[in-house]
Amino acid sequence: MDSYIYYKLFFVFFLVVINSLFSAVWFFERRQSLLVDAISHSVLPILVLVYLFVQSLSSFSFVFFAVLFSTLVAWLISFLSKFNTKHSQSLIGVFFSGLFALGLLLTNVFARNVHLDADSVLFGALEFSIFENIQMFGFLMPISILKLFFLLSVNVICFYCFRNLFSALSFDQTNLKLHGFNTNLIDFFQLFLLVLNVIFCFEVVGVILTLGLNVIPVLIASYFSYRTSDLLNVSLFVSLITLLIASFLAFSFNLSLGAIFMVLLGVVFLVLSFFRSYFMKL
Amino acid sequence: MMLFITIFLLSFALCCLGGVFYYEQKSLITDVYSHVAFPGVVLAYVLFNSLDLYLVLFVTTTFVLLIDLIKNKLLRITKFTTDSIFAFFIAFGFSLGTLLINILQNHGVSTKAGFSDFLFGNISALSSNDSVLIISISSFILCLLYLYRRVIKNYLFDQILFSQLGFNVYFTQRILSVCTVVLCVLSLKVAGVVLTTGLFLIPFATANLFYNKIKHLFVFALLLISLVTFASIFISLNFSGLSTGPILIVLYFVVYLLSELFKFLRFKNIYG
Repeated sequence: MDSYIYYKLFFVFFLVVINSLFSAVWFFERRQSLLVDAISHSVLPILVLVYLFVQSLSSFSFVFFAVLFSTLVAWLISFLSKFNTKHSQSLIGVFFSGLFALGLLLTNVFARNVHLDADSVLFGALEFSIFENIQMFGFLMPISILKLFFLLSVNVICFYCFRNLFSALSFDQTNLKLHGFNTNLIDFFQLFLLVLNVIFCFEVVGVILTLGLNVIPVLIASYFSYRTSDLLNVSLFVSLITLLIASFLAFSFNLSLGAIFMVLLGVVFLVLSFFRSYFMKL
Repeated sequence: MMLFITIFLLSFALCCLGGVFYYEQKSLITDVYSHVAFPGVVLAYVLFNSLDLYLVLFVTTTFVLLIDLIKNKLLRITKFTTDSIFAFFIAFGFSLGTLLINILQNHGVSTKAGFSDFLFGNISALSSNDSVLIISISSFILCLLYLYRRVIKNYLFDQILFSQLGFNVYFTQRILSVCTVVLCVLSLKVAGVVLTTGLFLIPFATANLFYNKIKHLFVFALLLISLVTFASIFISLNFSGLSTGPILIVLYFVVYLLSELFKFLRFKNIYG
């Protein structure tokens, strides 16, 4: 493969990783990592249904309706799991498996010939993400990079504007209510950002890796600090180093970049956990 | 008929174990097991060059139980919540499986179709030997659960009291884990990696909406499972392109949603 293509692939994946970290930090602090799992699986039937109406996977209306309806479903799952805190895991399990099965059926029946088949849903399609290009300032730019840049700007703006509010929501909702804030609205907005990240990252890395990106880097970072900004910085640093090694291995040995990245991150997490426990005993 | 009995017994055994983990508030444990089982399946292929269900069951169960030990150790030595650790193993297990398949493909082994049967489930690929294996193991686990139902009830009620009565909590946990792992691996062929959780959870969660007494709850689950299994096999046989696994879960899900709605309306009628 041309080295220019490697750089593009690396860059797309790097943008996906950064974007995921912005939502990962908040859901780690809320101790709701599995909600990401539920949402990443539940968006599938919505994507198929919206595709059936819009008949395009890249138009603005597709993204708009997909994000809107997915946020509603995510809010419903989050609301129901709050309503039944004792069995929130079972609610998440019921919804994500039910909706994912519905998604699989719909793809089998209606979207068999589209780039929305079961394989690409589970594994993603990083390789295909760089082939849809658009002419900009005399250069051919992959549309996925532009989309991910847009998402990054939304994430950065929201992070710096609302981080105090989001932190307060994670730690003490009652206090936030007493200060006159509408916690349901903030919760909905946070879910909207998560869904936006999931939908944009999902087509590149697939359902399960989206969950991994939203969980493992932050778990590693939490060994070093609990401050929100530090969590973000450390997880970004760890992800970048791991991504460089993973890219080298993936491009040299023709392996899946997403899978090797996640396995390396997992190994780092396991080694850190056991070393930490060993040294704390000493 | 054989297909119906296979799916019915497997679903009912999974539902009974689902009940145990539901009360333990670890409902998504099967999601972890089924995702971790995926690299186990690939490992079985690497070791024996075959995707025979007997071999897959042996290798994958050993692999998943090993990972389960690591998971339990992690839960003990770190301060992370069960949610975070579960999410970690789901992502890590699946990525490891994908990577192993990738390595196999680079060595010229084209086995994607074989692995897809385990990934998404493929009931039509079940041989009569596979069915016999699933039926015998499911029946054995159901008998075990029936014989030790009082012990399991005590275990779920209070683990401190359970150990004071002279039972071994760790041993009971291990036995329940082994049974769940074995059934999860078997159900990969029926429902696949993601949808196994549906078989494990939805029938019990639906029954739990109406009944609290264990006996009534399982009778309701039994009826629900037999009806849904029959309907899903009927639909998949009569409409081409619809596979049984996803139909089964969608039907369970629809029944669950209707039951929630019914319960909500009844609650509203009684309390205004």
